[in-house]
Amino acid sequence: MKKTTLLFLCALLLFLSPVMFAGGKQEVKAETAKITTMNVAVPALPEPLTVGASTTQARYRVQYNIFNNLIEFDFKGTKGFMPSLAESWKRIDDRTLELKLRKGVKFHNGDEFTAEDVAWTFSDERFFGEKPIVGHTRARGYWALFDRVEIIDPYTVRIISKDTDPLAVNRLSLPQFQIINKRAFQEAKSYEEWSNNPVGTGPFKVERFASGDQLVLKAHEQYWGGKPYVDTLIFRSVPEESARIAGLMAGDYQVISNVSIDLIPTIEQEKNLAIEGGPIASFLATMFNIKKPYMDVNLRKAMSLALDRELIVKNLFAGRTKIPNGINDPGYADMYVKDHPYPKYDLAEAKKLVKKSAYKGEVIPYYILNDYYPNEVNVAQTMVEMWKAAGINVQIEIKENWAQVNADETEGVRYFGMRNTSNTDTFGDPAGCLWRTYNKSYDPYKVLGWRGPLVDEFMELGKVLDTSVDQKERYKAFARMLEIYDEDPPGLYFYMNLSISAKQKSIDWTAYKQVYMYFGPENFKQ
Amino acid sequence: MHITYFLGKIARALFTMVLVVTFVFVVLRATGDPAQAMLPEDATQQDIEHFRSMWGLDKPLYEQYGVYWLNILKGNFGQSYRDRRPVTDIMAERLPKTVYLMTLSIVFAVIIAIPMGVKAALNRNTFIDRFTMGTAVFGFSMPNFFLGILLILLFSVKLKILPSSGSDSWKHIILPLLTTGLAYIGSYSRFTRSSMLSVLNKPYIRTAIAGGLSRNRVIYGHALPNAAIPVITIIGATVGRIIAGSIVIETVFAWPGVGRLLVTSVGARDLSVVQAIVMLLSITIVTANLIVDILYGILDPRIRTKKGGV
Repeated sequence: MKKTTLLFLCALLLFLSPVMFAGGKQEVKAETAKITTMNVAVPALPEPLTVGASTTQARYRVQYNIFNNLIEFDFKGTKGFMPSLAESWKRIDDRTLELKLRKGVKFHNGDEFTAEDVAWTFSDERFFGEKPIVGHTRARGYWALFDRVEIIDPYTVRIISKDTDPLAVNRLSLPQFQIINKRAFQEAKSYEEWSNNPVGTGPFKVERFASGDQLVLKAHEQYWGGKPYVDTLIFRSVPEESARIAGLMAGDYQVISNVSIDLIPTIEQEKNLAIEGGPIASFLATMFNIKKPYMDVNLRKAMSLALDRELIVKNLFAGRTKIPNGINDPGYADMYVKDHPYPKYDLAEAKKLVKKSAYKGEVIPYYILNDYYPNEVNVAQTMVEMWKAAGINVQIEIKENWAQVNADETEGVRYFGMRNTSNTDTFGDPAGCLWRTYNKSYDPYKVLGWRGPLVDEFMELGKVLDTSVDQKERYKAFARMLEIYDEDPPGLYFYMNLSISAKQKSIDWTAYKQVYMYFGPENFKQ
Repeated sequence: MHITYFLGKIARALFTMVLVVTFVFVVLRATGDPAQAMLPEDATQQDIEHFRSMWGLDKPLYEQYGVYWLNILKGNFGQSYRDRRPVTDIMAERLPKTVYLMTLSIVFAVIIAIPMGVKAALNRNTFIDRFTMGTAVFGFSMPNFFLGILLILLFSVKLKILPSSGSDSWKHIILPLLTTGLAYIGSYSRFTRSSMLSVLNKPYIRTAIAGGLSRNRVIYGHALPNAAIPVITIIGATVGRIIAGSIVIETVFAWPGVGRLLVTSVGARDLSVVQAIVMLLSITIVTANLIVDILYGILDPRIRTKKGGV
């Protein structure tokens, strides 16, 4: 009896001893001058790391820390396009952009960056050919007009397009077109080996990548932009949001990403924590399935008028995001159509339009994913009630993935009456957003039946956006495209998507107006 | 007789595994196109076709199935669609983490739960019995994702003595181990208690006591081995489910094991990885059942002398 008790107590003591004597949490030293180790908790890590293999948020979150573009976009401010690995650039003609490369830039392996690396990054063999090593050609969709790179000398290159490309500079700032080291790529035993240990010129080099667990980056002491403020940067995959927040509160993480709106007050209650981020350059929207007989233009306009967007933003986003005036962003600078009207809320007008429409009370299946976008399900449920008030019967169906969303009913007609999407602004110009997502290659025109004279006009105007170098002509075309979107809507836009992070207040890091999380020296107050 | 018995068991196990893998092979393809699940929503048709041809998904299903089994026979479980690494490499990275966590949890639970159950049985209807069984019911009925978060709040956020998630050091295993272990303790101790109670009422125990054997000899020499059969069964079932049982814990504590890999791979339709994990799941369950069968025979001689016994 006594021995049993003793045995039991010993066993209990043995297993609980680490708890009782565990001496503090893991070592994270945030010194005044420099951060030794910074832990950043994110929902997922990219697989693999290399540039151009896929276009996922998980990749974009970490990628800017490892690689540089030839030209950068100012995601924090309003400077627009800034020199990066290219110190300057000029147009030789409508198809040719000449770039002077920065001298003395070192890759993580010590190699000096030259025109050879640029040519290899954009080569047919690696990226733009019929069978590129990268595997599939997703990223090429962002530069269909690309033709070739010509090396003029080791520090001068010309990028030549197949046709007039007024957006070559914008495209060079995309994460798909970051520069990699030619020698390291070619010397890697396999593409897989390269993919998980890529070599770039960014402020951090890859030390260890354990897929699905952590990505350990070390400061690149020879970084051309200055010595990194952080010695070791660790991105940790922590899928559960409550665990990310608890880890932040416990001091295990210095920064976390993907914070839900409803958990912001919990974080704000903590004196040593702060919220970062806000609206990003991405419009939450739906696409209509215009092939459904009931989905005529009156019903589509009514669905927009029935939505009280301000109420949604106020109550479901605590006023932290904003409603845009069209798929149109102030970040476009001289291309921003300031006078384009904001969407109206007019329930009486919506009811009138429903009566005029071909809609006779059919159930409209509304496909969404389970909070793929922030607060997606709550917003959808709210909107369903608003539509109901206008006499429109929308029914939410939550799908597991895009394949289920895009399943066909019969003869190429999708099941859904409408579905959520996001129109992300990829490079600070309407050509990278409204035109990229509503041109003939994309779903509204290709599979959802968005056709007619106005749509034809829209497609012609889009070509002006793509090929004209006259900015006034482009502005006029874009302004008219916004009007057409409202007159014959292929979808609805609601509000700007959000990207909310949280951090220890002691960390002088600020979030971009994008999902990208950059920890280079330029992004810390020193 | 013994060889026939074993061969029969192994054949049945193999058949079960083939059935499970075939089922998963068909269901994964029937519930969504991996190309569309893997590629971004605005991927072009050209991207989708390129992806399908690269991974052989453009071939008829029966051909894909045949190629899959041929490759397995050569020891090739395929490559991940996501990072193109061999599935065997990915599993070799993840499996030890899961086995480490779950084995320690089970050992921890056995060490605590069996003495707890015995103690409760020997002190039936006393405070000790009610307290230990109350604790057991708490551990068993508490959802592990909730318990995990509570433990994080207590030990990481408030007391700041343990890391909240990750797997970098020995300290990182304590919270996931406690969370998983407490549920197992609840289950094992209740089984031990009820099994001990039924054995303690048997005539041979009364005979042993009447014969003058010491209390410890009676309990540990006669009662416990006989009470162990149902306990071994439940432990065996736990061992068989170590991968499936780790999914929630690994997600809450960001523990980079096979359970989390399974969840992300199913969501992304990373077919080769899912199929390999499902095969591993069925192997662990079948093997655990086989081991339990053998242990029955060792613990209870009557079982091994019956028809077909070991």
